[in-house]
Amino acid sequence: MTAIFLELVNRSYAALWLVLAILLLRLLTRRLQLPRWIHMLAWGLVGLRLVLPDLPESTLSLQPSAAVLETADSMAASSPVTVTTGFATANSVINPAMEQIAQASPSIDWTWVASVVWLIGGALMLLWSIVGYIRLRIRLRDAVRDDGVWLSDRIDTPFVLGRRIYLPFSLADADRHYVIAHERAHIRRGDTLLKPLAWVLLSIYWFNPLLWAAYILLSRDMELACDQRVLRELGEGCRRAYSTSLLSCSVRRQTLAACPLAFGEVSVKQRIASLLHYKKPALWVIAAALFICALLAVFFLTNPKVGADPTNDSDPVIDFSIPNYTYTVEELLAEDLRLSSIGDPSMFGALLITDSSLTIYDPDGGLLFSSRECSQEELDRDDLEEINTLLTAPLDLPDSSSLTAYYYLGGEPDNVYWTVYFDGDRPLWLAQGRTLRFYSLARARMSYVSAECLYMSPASSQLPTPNNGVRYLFDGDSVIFLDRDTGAETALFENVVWGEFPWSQAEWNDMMLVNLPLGENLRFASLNDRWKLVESDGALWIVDYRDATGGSYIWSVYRLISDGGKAAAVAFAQTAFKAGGSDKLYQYGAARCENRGKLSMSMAQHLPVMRITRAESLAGQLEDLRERYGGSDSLYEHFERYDEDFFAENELYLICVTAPSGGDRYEVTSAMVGSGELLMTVTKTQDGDTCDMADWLMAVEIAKSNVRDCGMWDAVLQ
Amino acid sequence: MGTPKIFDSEYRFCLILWECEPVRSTELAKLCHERLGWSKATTYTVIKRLSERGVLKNEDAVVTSLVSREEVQASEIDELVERSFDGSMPAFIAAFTKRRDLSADEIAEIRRMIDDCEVKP
Repeated sequence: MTAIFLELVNRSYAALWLVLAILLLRLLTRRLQLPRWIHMLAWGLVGLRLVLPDLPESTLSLQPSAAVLETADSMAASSPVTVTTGFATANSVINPAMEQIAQASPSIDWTWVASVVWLIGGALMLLWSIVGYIRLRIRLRDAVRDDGVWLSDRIDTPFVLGRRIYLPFSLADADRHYVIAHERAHIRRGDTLLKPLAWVLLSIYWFNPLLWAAYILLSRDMELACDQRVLRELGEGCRRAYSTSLLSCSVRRQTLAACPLAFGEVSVKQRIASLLHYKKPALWVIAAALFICALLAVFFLTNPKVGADPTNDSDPVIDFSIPNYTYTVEELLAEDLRLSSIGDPSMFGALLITDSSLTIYDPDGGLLFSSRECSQEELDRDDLEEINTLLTAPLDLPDSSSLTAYYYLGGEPDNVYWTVYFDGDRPLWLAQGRTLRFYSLARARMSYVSAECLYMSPASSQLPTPNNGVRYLFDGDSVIFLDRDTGAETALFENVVWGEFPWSQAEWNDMMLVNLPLGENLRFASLNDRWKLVESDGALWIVDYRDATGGSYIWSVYRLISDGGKAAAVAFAQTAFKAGGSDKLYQYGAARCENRGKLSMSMAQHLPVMRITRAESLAGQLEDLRERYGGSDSLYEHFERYDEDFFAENELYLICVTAPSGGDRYEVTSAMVGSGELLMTVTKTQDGDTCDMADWLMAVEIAKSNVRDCGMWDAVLQ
Repeated sequence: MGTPKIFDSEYRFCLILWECEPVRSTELAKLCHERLGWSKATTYTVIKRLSERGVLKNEDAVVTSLVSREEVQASEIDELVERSFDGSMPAFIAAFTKRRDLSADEIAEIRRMIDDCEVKP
């Protein structure tokens, strides 16, 4: 109900501007004596505005705001709605006031209160008019039919109700003719439906004062339009006689009623005046008026185009692009003597610093800070000396005479800012806001290792294992190859630039004997003539490319994952079962695993990984398994330990492997998390010597907090 | 003893009653529906109301009037004369005759009526 009410407020706010425009136009065109049906058309537009739910957006819209009340979706806002009137000054006054009200009374939802008040008000209005209608009908029960009209002795003014014209007995004969003509005109114009409809709309939008004015003006226009129509039909000669009748029937009645449409009801003086001066307007006047109505529709029956919200957060996960500056925090250099807490450099992950933006990640890849604006300030040597006196240890001031402090300002609602002190174009120190806590910055060296072999040329004598023996360090624009075991540097490539992927899928396929599908988002960097880096849909590959005289081909492709150290290896527990003597379990797993696409893709042997996060799905999975596969009771008994308490903190992974010999033993030897993927390595720990095939099932338990950001799960057989 | 007041709608009803009485109430309701457009319920309500006022009586579902047409007309005229002519009947007649020219037959009829009035004690 609150939602409906808010929607109505929005629509009535929009209608408000349309009504204002119409009032203005009426004032301006008063002299022109436009026929009243044109006025009715304008009111019709208001009705449309109030009723239609989805209106098109247009740059021509004169509406100040598409929706004045929007439910606040930020959890930080205490007020449940935000006001966007379309006028910044009004917004900046109203919104804080609403916040204050909300904070002063946090347990009351004011929008709900308002919608209850609205409901009661509208219901009362409708009830009042329904009761009035019923009472009138009761009064009219003994009206007698007489020559097409109904006569009653309980009424003192003629009116129309439904499709019947009611006249008082006391109506003079002279007036009858015109009265009946007028009321008939009402019926034919459909006013008997229009007025109650307008009343219903008014009951719904009763809280908008301008709409009451619109309703009154609408009633007036309705009557005048009827008068004008009667004149057109009966001829100009009866103008005076008609006005006389009008005068003699005039009664001071309530102007705010849904029905009936009484003859002498509305503003008699104005009607007579308008009648006596009425003349059919020129054609061009009518055309101009219609054109203006069309313009009104375009300007006010459309909503303003809402631009894309610039405060949308982009994906906070670190992507693989190599920006100009990637930094890490090395150590806490010094801080203010007066600070009570000690800074912690380990809270920082990577920092992306440019001269206009700063992004800080935490060690797990979550976003700590993203800047929106940047300003600079020069600090000369004296300022720095002064700062040094307040610190626990003096900073090593560089030789240059001044440093530039870049203040990176974040967004609402906290408006925090971080400061990076640059020596020329080299960032030196990081500080939060104006606190004197200085961390030293160092260029980040992102370390990657191969996670799997996507392709190995069959001519190679090497077995395609996931580990290609190389650790890749990305240091700014350089890429360094290190021996994965010893750490010795084996190659250095500088000024690495990322650009477009140079081959089509067909050309790529031609260079290998296996079709390795390329992703949609591709980037490419050439390290040298042989080594190439490919980024495909976020995955990073190292390609060993050979450009021989006979044609170019690819020797190997390895997929790399970041080996950042802190987030790489995760703890796990496992239980391994020998589950039977066929490969049925493997088939079962292959059909239900998370990494189905990888099972047949590469040269490395991927194993099906089934991921279970809830006790109910485990129960379902086991049921299914038991039905299709059977298996020993001890297997299923083991799984009873994984109850709801377990799944509150942990996740369970089932890995299937088919062993060629029943005597083999398999175990998961490592679990690594990096770049959104959990990769488990399975190793054969014992060689059997029988020749019967066997299914092995490993149940791996990993804490949820370790695999929080993972979207991919995989296992490889080492 | 004043003639009971009859409103305009009720007068039309009485016109039908005077024409058809004595009449069964169901028959009367049908006639009222045809000529006046009244529902059955309305007719019965009006019958009840008028019987309370002493205009008609409804016994064993048969309706008969207690007041005649002439009585009602006379009562109306009395009220009109009282209200608009200060109770002066001649003034009323004068006003009436001023409006229309009476034909010879009408004058004769009126003369006869006045003569009848005189005869009555």
